[in-house]
Amino acid sequence: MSNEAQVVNYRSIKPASACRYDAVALGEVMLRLDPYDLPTASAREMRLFQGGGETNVACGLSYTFGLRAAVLTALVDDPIGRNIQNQLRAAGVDTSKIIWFNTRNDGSRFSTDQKGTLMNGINFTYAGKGVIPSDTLYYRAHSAARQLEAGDFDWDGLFGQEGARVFSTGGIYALISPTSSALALEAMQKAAEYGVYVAADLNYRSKVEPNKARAREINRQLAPYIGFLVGNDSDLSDALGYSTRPTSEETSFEEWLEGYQETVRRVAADYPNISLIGTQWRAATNADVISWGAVLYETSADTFYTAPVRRDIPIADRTGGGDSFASGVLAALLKEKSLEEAVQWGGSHGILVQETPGDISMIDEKAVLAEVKRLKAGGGVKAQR
Amino acid sequence: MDVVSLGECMALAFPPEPVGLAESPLLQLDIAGAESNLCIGLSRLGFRARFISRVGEDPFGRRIRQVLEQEGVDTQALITDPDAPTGVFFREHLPDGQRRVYYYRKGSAASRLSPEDLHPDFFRGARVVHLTGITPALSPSCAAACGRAVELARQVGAVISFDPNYRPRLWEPGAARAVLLPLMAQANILLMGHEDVQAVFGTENIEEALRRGCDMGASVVVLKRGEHGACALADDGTEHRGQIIEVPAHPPTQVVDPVGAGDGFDAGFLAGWLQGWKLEECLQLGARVGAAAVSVMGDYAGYPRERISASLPEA
Repeated sequence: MSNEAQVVNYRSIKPASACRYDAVALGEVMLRLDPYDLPTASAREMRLFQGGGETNVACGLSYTFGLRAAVLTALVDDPIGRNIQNQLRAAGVDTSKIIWFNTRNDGSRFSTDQKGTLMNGINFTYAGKGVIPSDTLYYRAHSAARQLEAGDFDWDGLFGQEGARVFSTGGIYALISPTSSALALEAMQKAAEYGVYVAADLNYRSKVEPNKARAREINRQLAPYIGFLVGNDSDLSDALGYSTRPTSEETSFEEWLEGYQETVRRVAADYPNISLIGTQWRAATNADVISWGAVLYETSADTFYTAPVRRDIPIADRTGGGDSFASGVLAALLKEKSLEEAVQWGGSHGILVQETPGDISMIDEKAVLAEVKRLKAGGGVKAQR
Repeated sequence: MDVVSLGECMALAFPPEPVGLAESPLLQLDIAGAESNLCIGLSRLGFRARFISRVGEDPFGRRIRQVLEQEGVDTQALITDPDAPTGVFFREHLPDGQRRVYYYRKGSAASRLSPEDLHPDFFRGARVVHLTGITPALSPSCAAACGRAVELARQVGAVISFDPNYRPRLWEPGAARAVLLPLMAQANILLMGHEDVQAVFGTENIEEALRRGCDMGASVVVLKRGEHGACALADDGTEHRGQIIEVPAHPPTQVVDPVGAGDGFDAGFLAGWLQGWKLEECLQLGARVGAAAVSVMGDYAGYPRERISASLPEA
């Protein structure tokens, strides 16, 4: 692989002063309609959030950690698209790079009609309660973000002139259409060329790509450009084809970690460009109570960093835990913290997003640090006075 | 069965306040569709109405079936499609009184409705088969289903009622005319709104519109004029046409949500017609159901529950 030497290591992330953006994230953003505590079929009222696996990372970096983040996506220029944009703005994210499809059907590249031939991705997500599992109904088959292809973004301008320290994308977006995989690959190659650190969460969704062989073929093209790989063992198996140790609901974090260590060492041996591999660990008692851990692997030193497991934590909404783990780790890296701290930030931010409804955490960095401190001190929750 | 209709019923999401969709943090959820609205309206008036369609195997498909059944609409011909979702659309009610809709219905279960879904049994004993111009706009198979519905209606001797329901968001005027005119030519009862007349006949003139509707073969042509009331022209097909009958609008106590008024009017008009009422009385009931619809938020919520007919057994 010719570009191997150019893939950026986490130690060589560019200084903030050299870049307009701390991070840019490429993905699909959806409007989420959340039916509160009633399942979708019977709900009369829904609150609105926005979210998407890849872009949630940008939102976390921006809102929670105060970093300069932009989302790269496409939206249809209707009020649903503008609602999504308004929410992204509320998270402090730069929306100037969004590609808008007009609805004038004027034949131009970024144009559609008003019949809904192209739409904004939307989903109806019920967070679940107790023994009722969470449930998501997607309307994304005809989304504008799927239409994007290589050449639609000006990487030379973005990475070369404006500058970005981290580029982040993921396995959901890369597999969402035949053209999105080529776009993700182009972005990663350009990132390597311009010295941008690449993070990618290769999470696998069978609803997005039921064919695992195709998923693996595409992810194996992307893997040689990744600097920080986010993925749990089922992702590494489904998305990249690694055999993993079987686990069950009863598997403890410690047992699971042994298997995970073995798998990620093989991944690191195959892809020497990857400098960090990490994931959250989650065990659910029911929809409202989970145990939560986090691990980060430094490949060159063969060192594992873990966050202590939070046990039996009541949560409000599981969505976005993995994305907020990733943004917590990236925030620490961008703020030049140690890997020890990075895994703590990831674990802390990952649990905090699940304590609140919505796909992204609308909490500040202080809350993340307080949660890190609380865990170090042995766990109790004290009133902040 | 008194009335059989086919079309698309969707999940409808709209802000609870008159703010734009781009700003609203909340949306209310309901179901809506011209033909299902009509079936609900007729069922509330005591008539047996059957709704033929497809819904997804998803929460909204279940919701649509549940609401229709609760309203007493026959869902025997409502198919659950495991391979396509229930359509969704958004509507915003802006402070200036404007209403705008945004369709998220591409590839929906209902757009896959096809002639094969229309079993002749569904039409047995039907007195009226009601179609709207929305259904043929959805897909070629839906357009073919409308054609098949006309054939089946003829076979059972049902009267064909047609509301062009022209939707500029769904198609260009030229394409709409090419599909709507042949369907209108099949109709015995034509129920049109101001926008339909403009799009299909290219005229603003009421009398001209009514006469052209009769020229196409309809025995009753109705023009719904909202706050200006309604008018109709009957043609017995022999020596001369009747007088244009006009009724004033039924003044609503307040206008909350105009959507659903046209479908409600159709339901009221057909209810009167099924009872053998005079044309003027049919128009009056149509205007009253339409006015009731605009007084309440939601498409069908305001339709009156008055048992004009006893053909629907008491629930």
